[in-house]
Amino acid sequence: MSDPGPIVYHCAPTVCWVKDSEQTILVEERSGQSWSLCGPEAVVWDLLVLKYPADRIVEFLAALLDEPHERAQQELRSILQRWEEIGLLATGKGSHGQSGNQRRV
Amino acid sequence: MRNIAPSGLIDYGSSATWHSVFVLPIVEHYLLYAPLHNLGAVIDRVAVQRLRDALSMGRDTGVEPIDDILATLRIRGEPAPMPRQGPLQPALLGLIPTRSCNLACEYCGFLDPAGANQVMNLNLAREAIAWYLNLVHSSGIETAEVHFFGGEPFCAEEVLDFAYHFASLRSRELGCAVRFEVVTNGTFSEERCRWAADSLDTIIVSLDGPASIQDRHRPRKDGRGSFATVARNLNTLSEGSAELSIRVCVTSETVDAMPDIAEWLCQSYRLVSVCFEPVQPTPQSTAAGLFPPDPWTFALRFIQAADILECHGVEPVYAAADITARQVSFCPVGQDGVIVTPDGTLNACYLVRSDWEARGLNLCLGRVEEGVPWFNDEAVEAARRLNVWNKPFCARCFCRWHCAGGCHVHHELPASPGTYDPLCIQTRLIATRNILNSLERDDLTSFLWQHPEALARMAGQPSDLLIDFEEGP
Repeated sequence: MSDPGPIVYHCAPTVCWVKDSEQTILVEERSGQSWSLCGPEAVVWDLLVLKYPADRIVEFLAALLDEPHERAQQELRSILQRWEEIGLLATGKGSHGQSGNQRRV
Repeated sequence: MRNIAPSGLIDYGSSATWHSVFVLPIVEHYLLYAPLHNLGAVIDRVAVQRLRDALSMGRDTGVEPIDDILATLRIRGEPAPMPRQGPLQPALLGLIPTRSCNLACEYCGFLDPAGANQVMNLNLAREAIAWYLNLVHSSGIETAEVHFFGGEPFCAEEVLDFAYHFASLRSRELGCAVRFEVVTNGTFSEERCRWAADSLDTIIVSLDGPASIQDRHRPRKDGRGSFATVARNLNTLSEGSAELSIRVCVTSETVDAMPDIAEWLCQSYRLVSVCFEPVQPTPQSTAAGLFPPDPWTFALRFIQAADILECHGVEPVYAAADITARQVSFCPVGQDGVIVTPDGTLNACYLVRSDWEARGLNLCLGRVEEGVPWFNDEAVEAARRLNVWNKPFCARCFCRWHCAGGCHVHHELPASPGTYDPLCIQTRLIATRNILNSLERDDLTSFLWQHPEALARMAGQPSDLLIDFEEGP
């Protein structure tokens, strides 16, 4: 059996987003609910949209925030879990994931 | 007479006035131009003579319109631009994520044989940005400028992403804003394009014209054309929040197409500016049969293209003829600009080292060592000495404070006054158009170009200074 590859996160099909210099605003189209991301969360969203794999995002976070790899890993896991729970993210298997739902508000 | 902008304090008969008041013959008229006083006026020969005499003697003429001009000239305008002094205070931080590129442009002289495939280490980017933002913060500057150059910056996407996010996070901590600008060939993926459109502040895309020109000038390394991808991405970039500018490299073959290119660009994309620059001769461009355009033809076509662009609300740019500039150096060299290369050297110039060395220049300011940017004070001072005050050839030219002698590396100034080279000629012609345009006297530009002898007299005038104005019939 072939290796299914790591879990890959990508944004949910009904989520749109817009950026300005301060924040990234996400909107769930069906419910109209919105979220504002800034700081490390905005970085993670940006990198997910650009199809960065999770392990590379961890390396980025560690370097950007000047913190140990383990702590960055924990932080990413926590962010992704929260986003998945509130429906901002969908998951799939594969090496690079997909990003077909990138749209702007 | 029209004041292009208001001015300031009194300074009767100062040398700064004398050396910043110019007069250009426009057929039977004269264009009086005092950039440091933000003054331009179209006057006649008698008025020029009276102005010159009155200024030198410190008295009025009794002729009201001329005395109005005198009053403005006797008010100190902006101080003459001076080279920077004191501690290094960069106007921008330039990052070269890599010198490599996915295109094989026929004229490109940016490929660095010493480090073509080198990619900037993320720690280097981090250290340079941290140093720069701390300096910006401690200097009280509100907005930092981080610019990406190449090669093609998007060939090292991770460096660009890291630098973007680190600078964003760090500037937020420090309470200052940061602007991001990139110069790119525009051949990135669709998702990268969407990111750039909504994340960066200014995107300058090199596009030389429609497919027939672009694919000849700027093919991919595998020989395929680049036009289709760039055109697709420009549509996406046109919808984004970033300011979008196009840089068009013009050759002797394409110069006559400039007005058509301007119209096509305006019809196709949402642009802030279009910059036309003649091809810089390189061994590569010469081998490919691409040559700079004739300066007179380039200036004429630029003027026609500029009129079209302005009708569409798009700014026409020929950098050396930017009459809004008041500067002693044409480029980041005069602004203490620090350009970080992939190997960790900190340069004043984004051109490749071999280019400056060929001109006997050393534009390396220092390097990052053990995580700390280190600068050679003597090198910083040497770079600051590359300014128009040290270019005697430019002292009597009305473009002195605008083009400031042009590129220190590529523009070798002629030896004797008035022996203008093609770059000087086209700069003088286009700057004259820009001044007359600011005075809403485009009719005089047309009139001048209908009189080739008068045009040549204006463009070739050895000294533009009012004090050098000679008596005539």
